[in-house]
Amino acid sequence: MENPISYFFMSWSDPYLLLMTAAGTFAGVYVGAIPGLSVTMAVSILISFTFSWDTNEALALMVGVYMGGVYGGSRTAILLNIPCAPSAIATAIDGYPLAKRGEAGTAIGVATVMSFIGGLVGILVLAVAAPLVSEFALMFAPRDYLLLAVIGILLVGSLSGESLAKGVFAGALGVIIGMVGLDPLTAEGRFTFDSITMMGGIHYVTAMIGFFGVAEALAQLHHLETPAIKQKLERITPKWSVVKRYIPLSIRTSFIGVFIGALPGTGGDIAALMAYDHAKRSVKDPSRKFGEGAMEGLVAPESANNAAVGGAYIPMLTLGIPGDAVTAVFIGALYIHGLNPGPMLMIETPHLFWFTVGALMLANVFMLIFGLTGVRLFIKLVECPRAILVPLILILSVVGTYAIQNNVVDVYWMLGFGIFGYFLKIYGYQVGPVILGVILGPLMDVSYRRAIISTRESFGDFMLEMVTNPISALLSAALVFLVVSQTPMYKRWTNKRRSV
Amino acid sequence: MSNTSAPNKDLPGTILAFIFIGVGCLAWWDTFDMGDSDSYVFPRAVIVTLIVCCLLLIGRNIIWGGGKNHKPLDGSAWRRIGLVLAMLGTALLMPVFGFIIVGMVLFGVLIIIAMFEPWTRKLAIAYPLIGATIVISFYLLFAVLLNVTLPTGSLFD
Repeated sequence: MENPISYFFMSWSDPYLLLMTAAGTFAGVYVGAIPGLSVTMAVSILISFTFSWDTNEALALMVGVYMGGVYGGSRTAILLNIPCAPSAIATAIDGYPLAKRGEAGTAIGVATVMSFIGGLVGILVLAVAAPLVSEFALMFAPRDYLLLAVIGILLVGSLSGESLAKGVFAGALGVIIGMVGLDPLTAEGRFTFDSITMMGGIHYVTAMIGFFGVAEALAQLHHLETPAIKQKLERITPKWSVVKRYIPLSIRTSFIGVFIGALPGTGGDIAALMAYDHAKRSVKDPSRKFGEGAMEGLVAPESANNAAVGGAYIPMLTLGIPGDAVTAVFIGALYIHGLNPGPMLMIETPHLFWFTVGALMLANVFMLIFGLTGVRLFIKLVECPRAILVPLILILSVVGTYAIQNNVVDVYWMLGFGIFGYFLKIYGYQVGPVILGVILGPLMDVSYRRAIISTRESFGDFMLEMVTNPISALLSAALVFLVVSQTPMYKRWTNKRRSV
Repeated sequence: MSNTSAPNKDLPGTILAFIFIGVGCLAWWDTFDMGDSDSYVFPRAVIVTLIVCCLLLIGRNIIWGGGKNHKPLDGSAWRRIGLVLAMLGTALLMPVFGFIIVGMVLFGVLIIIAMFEPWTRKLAIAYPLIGATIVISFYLLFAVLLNVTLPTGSLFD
């Protein structure tokens, strides 16, 4: 058997594999930046092209798309306040205010470098500690997923909103929207009001484009008289002093990203939010107030969501369990190419593990290169007159929404969500928790039901396990702390302590 | 000029909360159609959370005053109404006339809605051309390159 190093460097030394990884990463960066085109969708489409290809070539291309796509979502989140992927929701909180200050170039530069560092940490953990992390991730029971999802929704509400009640309200509303359609376990219609159109459910991308894209276009109409902001473009690649300043935060949040990414069924969205929360709580002297363009608010989620890529591969390569939707598609690709993903994959085909790690590392390097080039052209988007920008956002929204299911009904939903999101925005409600609710609602629903089934439908046992199991107890404590820390009493107490 | 940070009764927020209590009740009523207890327990828990949060917000607004005074809305309302109507028209007409035609018309209408600076001959020529280029580019990207079907229009089938 050849040694792992030769497999690791295979994609670096073979010109064709190098080209495939580069092409995949380039496509990923731009696909990730277009609303409606998800990385999952891009990888799924690619599989059909790669049936007859060599496994390594197919993997190199798909790994590139995945790595580039996760990063690509940050661009439109920063420039247009449209996070094209759930993992970019947290990026928009501070990224868009930076663009509004004319610092989109710096924001994209920092986001790119921090995504690279995050990706690097994720890949290193994958290479060094995959079996260990995987074992720990498998200790998470359904009730822990339920708690994680609730924490995720509450985090975004408390992070960006003035009131926890408003955040919880928005999150609960999102969960209800996410439940529209057929029950995933019993196939019974829920909140469909006997309408066939509603049985298909509401895709989260439809809600995301509506709440962010259309609502943003409506909000733009308030500022027609103010000229478009001129962006400072002297320097895209951040100075070493800037990078050095944020490296500790980036590495800390990358570890959060890897671990959350390694939990099957979760992904960059929860990772990015938890990282943002960590930054908000741990950084005492941010560059600006969080939510108003703090660079730390950009560094944390961008590091975490790219680190989650390496994390998502951990259960996939060690146990054959997908870490997220994209790795689920990857498992399908491995089957198509005659491999057998599962616990034996690393024993039977260790070369595949090291090849994937090497290709991920190469894709991460290409992501850095492509991320720092072509930015000036991309930034022209925010500088263009509103008479072009508003139609552009809306055309993009229509195409993106229609493309999800080739159904015009989604365009109606998107418009409805856009109008509703606009009113939420102007009356001080956060749209982030609604989106998170739509995305995490199904995970909460299924996790709760699995948890209750595992306790033989005993609610008492279910609650008992929440406090007796170490992981659940830790997560429950985090949840309680999160709620308590948002109460006026706690805020008064901390303010008093600070003033003392 | 109004003070943006002074607490107020947050009337729009209160109305919104009342509307969502209604939405919650409607959603609760729909859960009666769910035969399996596993199907409705979680949705009902979420509905209760929604209603409790709405009641908390109403209580806070009425008793203590809540939120902040919101800035009066700048810009004319007709532009926003026009935008919504244009989008609604797009959704209605796209299956009949196809993406390219409806997309171009939508882009043109939206340019008029979002145009603030005075029209010049140069802009009158440049903007529609930019719009047409963007719509055609999107069509080529999605329908041709990515093989994502966009409506061609039942009129032309």
